[in-house]
Amino acid sequence: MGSISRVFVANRGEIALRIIRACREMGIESVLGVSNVDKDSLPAQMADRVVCIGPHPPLQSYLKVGTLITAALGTGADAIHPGYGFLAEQPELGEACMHNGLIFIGPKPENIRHMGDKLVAREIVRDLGIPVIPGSELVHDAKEAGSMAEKVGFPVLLKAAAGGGGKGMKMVRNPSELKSVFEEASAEARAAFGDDRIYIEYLIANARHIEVQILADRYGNVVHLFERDCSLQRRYQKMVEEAPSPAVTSDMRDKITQAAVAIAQHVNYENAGTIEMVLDQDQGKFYFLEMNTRIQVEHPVTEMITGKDLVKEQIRIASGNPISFAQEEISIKGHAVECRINAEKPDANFMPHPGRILSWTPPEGHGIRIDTHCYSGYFVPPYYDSLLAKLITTGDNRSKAIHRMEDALANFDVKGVETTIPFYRKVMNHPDYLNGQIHTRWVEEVFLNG
Amino acid sequence: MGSIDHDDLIQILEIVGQSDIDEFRLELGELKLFLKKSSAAHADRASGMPVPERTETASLTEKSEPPEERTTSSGASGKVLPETGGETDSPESAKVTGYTAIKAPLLGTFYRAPKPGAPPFVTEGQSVTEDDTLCIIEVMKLFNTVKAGIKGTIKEICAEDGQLVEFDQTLFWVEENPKQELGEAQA
Repeated sequence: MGSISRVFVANRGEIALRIIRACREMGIESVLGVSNVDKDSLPAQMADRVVCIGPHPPLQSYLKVGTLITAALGTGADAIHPGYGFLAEQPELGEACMHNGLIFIGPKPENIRHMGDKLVAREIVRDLGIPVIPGSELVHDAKEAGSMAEKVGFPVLLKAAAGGGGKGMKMVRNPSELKSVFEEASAEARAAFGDDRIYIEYLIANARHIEVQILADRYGNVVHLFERDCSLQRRYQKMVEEAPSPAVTSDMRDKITQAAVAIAQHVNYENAGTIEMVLDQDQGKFYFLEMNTRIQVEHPVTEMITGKDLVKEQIRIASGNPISFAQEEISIKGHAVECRINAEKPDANFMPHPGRILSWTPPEGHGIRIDTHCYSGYFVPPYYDSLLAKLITTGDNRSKAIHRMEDALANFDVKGVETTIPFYRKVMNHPDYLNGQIHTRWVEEVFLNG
Repeated sequence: MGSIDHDDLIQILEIVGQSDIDEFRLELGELKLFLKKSSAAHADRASGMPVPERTETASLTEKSEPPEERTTSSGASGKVLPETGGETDSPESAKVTGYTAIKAPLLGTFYRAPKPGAPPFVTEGQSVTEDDTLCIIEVMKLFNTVKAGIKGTIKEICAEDGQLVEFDQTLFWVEENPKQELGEAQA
């Protein structure tokens, strides 16, 4: 495998732009595949070349492996970056790249296959002596689920083995509702993933979502870039992320980062990945949740506290180079907070609100980063996710970063589409958030209820 | 009236747009404004083609079944697959009497012949009928034939053999055999 001189970007929106910029800084050309509604997008204007890969439904464009490979080969690209979402965690794209002499900028197909299956991943991790959330392997029917749930103790969480993004994930409070919820969960899992395997997990009531960023190269080097805290979620969708976590002590940090590195080493992982964990705040214990085999939406907070460019590292590693730094060369510098600004109506149950952005005036200034593909006049198409921008602020410490975020949100003016900015302004002023006293269901149970 | 502002310009554009005027020139001191309607401009580029009468048709982007789509534009520039998308960039998808663009129903490699060395399916000037195959578009060893779908004469082949063509890119211009046109005339 040789070096990379032209990258085909198989994604859209802010992450496509992020990849194009990284390529440009590295002197690498970029080719962007767009659906017909994305031809005028900002990444399309920034890429060195653009090809239209199909109509707007993702199944006819961004999710077509054969089309993407043909487009990459036909435009002389030597590598494909999948971004996040779409085909990023489908081993088929990496395999098709291998068969066609293209470099997949991401983990090996077998890494994706093993760690993408939650049950396989749980087994691998448990064998390493890393705690997994008490629960079952697999339950085949409601009856089996019932006896397993009794053993684990209510409330329990039913989860899809092939799951992700909260789909097929259901809470069961007591035995009487188990049967109906089990059927709902397996139907949802079948519809979303074509795989209705369900497993049961003990529900941690006072949980934080903590994840460790790792990088691994083909020479066996694995480094971690500390943790991110993504506990502020709504319906299992992350909304605010920060690094480092206000709930992680340095002793805990050593444990979880070592566990993350051990997992990556054990599976011969390559490229960027994230080990997601749950912190039981009542017990002070960590459990492995899952591994994400891609660059993540919230990667900028890690970049801001470490000064490392994760997308460039991905490209370097995929080119066959070692990671550009050693573990002891990085440390946590200050604090970073990220808000995902979506085109949604916070007052109407976060209903998506696509449409024409009449005016777009993002905040500027020291300690503010914004990753976005939006501009005044841009039409937010209704066919894709509603992420408009990731607003990231930094500070010497957490309260300074949050204060800067409040200020940045106040100076973020968007007209034409409704956004989640007003929601985040309230969150940034809430004493629970300021004191770091939240859990993964805080938004639904406390904030929106209060 | 010494100058025009943004609102004046918008008004001028609207008035010219709704009128039958094809060209509009305005000179005010240092300001020079020259407007030319796209139908006129396109006819100029495709030399020899008459200024066509535009008729209405469904927008290309609204359809999800591209293989059956055939829309025409008022002119074919000879430019093939420039860096940012070629014909697919053109907002023109209005139907024009007489000329029909055959567009790529999917992205892939364009082949003019059934196999290397074989004679091409069609050449410029050749008459075709609805069921005639015009080309093949290959995606990962899957070969998709593109049919003419109309009766007419191939006026121009806009893609190169063996090259990548994009979704919705114009591949052929076909001069349709005369027939009754439906649709409303439009300015």
